[in-house]
Amino acid sequence: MEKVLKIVKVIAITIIMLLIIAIGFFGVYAKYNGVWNNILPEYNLGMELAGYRELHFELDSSEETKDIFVDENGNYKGDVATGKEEGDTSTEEIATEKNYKIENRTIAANDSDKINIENFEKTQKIIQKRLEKYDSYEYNLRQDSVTGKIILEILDDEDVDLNASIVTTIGKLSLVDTETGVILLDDSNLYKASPFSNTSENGEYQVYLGLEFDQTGKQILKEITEKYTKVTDKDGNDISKNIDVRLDNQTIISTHFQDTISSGTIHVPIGASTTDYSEYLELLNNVKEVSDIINEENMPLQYKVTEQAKIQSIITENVRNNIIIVCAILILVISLYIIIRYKLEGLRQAILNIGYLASLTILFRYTNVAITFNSLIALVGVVVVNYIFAIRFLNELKKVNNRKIALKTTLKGLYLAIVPVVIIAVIFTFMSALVINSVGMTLFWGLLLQLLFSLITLI
Amino acid sequence: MKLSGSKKILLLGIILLIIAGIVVVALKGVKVSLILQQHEEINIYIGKPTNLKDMKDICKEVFGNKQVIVNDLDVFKDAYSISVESVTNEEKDELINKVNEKYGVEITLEDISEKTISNIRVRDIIRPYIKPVLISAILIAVYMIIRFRKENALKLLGKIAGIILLTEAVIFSVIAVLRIPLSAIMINIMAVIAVVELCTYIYKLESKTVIKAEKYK
Repeated sequence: MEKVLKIVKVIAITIIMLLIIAIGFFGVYAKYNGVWNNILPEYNLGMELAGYRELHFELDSSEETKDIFVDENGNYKGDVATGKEEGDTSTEEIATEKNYKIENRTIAANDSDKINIENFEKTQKIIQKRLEKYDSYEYNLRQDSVTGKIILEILDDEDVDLNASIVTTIGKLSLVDTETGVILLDDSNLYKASPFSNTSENGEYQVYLGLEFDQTGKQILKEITEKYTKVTDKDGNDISKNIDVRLDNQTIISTHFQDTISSGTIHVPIGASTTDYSEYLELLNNVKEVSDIINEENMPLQYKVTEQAKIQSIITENVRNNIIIVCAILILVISLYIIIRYKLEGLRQAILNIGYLASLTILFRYTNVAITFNSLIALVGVVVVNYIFAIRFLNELKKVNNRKIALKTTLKGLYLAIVPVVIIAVIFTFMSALVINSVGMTLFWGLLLQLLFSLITLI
Repeated sequence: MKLSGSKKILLLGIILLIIAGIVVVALKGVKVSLILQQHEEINIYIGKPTNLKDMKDICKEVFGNKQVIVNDLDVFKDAYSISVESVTNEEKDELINKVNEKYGVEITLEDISEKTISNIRVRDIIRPYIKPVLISAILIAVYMIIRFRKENALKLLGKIAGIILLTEAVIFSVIAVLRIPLSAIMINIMAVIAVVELCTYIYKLESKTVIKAEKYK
């Protein structure tokens, strides 16, 4: 009876393995709108395998002649607002109040004395810092040390425009008088920018950009909030003076203040409130990215996008199919060797090994493990470890003729030897770079699944 | 430690190879793969569906022994990005002529765009690896000191570090002397070899420990 039960168990496991192999390597197809589609999630491919977008940036050489506010030292203090001229009452008032002059100057996007190799290096470092704030970042950054031209190679996804803005955004935050254009407060007095959110009673999410200023900024902010407050005339018309919160020359919001703020912190609402959680998360993420840009040093140079192209991977479908065929032949040869040498036990182990590889492919789809050249090398590593386990287990089983003892001995010998690999798997998984964490996750899931599959050998 | 004659010769050979590698790197630097070094990129738009293999054959004829990589531009298989070490005007003309001949089109110099693509600094490729490799190395060393506390830990660590460094130095010297282009995959393969050596060494130590334990039984 026990023998029959064991045979049934073995047959059941073999059938399950064959099913997993079929699903893992061929997928599960369902008809949708008359078309058969694989319902398994797609692999998450890295740049080398998915192709990438190549963005070219050059130094912005544009110039603009305009009226600007300058302080007593000749420092720039804001553009005179469009439609305003020297002589305009509000412009004159604020210039007098701040002890500024109005001058007509030609302002270049990049001063010629700033175009040097030190600033090229600085720019590159800032861009790298910004890109590396992302989880699972992957990019190649090239810079011409003579012309300063930059080429950014990144994954071609919905974040391409955002990534482009990482290079083109200087990161200068300013609070500007909407009417006159004078800069009231800027990021030289900013302590920290951070994302905030709250949820209203009716379940609406609102995202804010939190700006915390230093002691000097706190005092200036208090004065601003006292002056730029809600005012209505005798007919009830809103005649409030507004300020613009700007990032570079883009206005994030134009607003006035309800109350005087003496804490030195303002929360700038970003976008409309929403009940859609995924929309809220996306906005929160965007605001976090903007905060990171503001908190970092400003870019010393202004760049503009000049060109972009989508470059496909060198691993074409043809190359991929050839690699799959070679791997399949290799696995077949090794499986045949195991079957010939170890007979029925060998056949069982060979099916388990192939099932292990198929399970890994399914697991990678569902756990979103990134497939990069590095992770493919790690994948080969865990498959090799699995085969080493199989052969050692079969040898041990031949010696001791007891599955439990054979398994215990094999696992102990193998896993004590690969402790460094386990350590690498854990450490690498927590790194932000995709080329690193893809290795960690491949090793982690590969070794975990290998342990699980090794327990199946007990049955 | 006394070495036999053949081992002495092997060690001498290794030392000479490493010295040769150092000299080559000092004089000529490390040769990196085309994608990592500064190169020219030609984007060519043919306007009708074509074959990547045919394009690669054309490029081989035009550019001869120069390193060339051909990629599809977009998914329509009618445009290519050709990365090559350098390109002369004659080569550009020859490329256009061969493409026109092959596909029956009439593209001109104005239909192709050429750009200089700057290099990627090797230190930028290696930088993401520094922190995780250092942390892993420290944790592995701590593990080995604890696991093999009955052995001379410093001697153990010194020996394995020496073996790994020597192997990596030999591989790197071979790459430098033979002017094999260094790429990210090469660096990864060198890392895998180091990990395999480490695991093999630990396996041998574990086996020794088991044998010792059985002796005492």
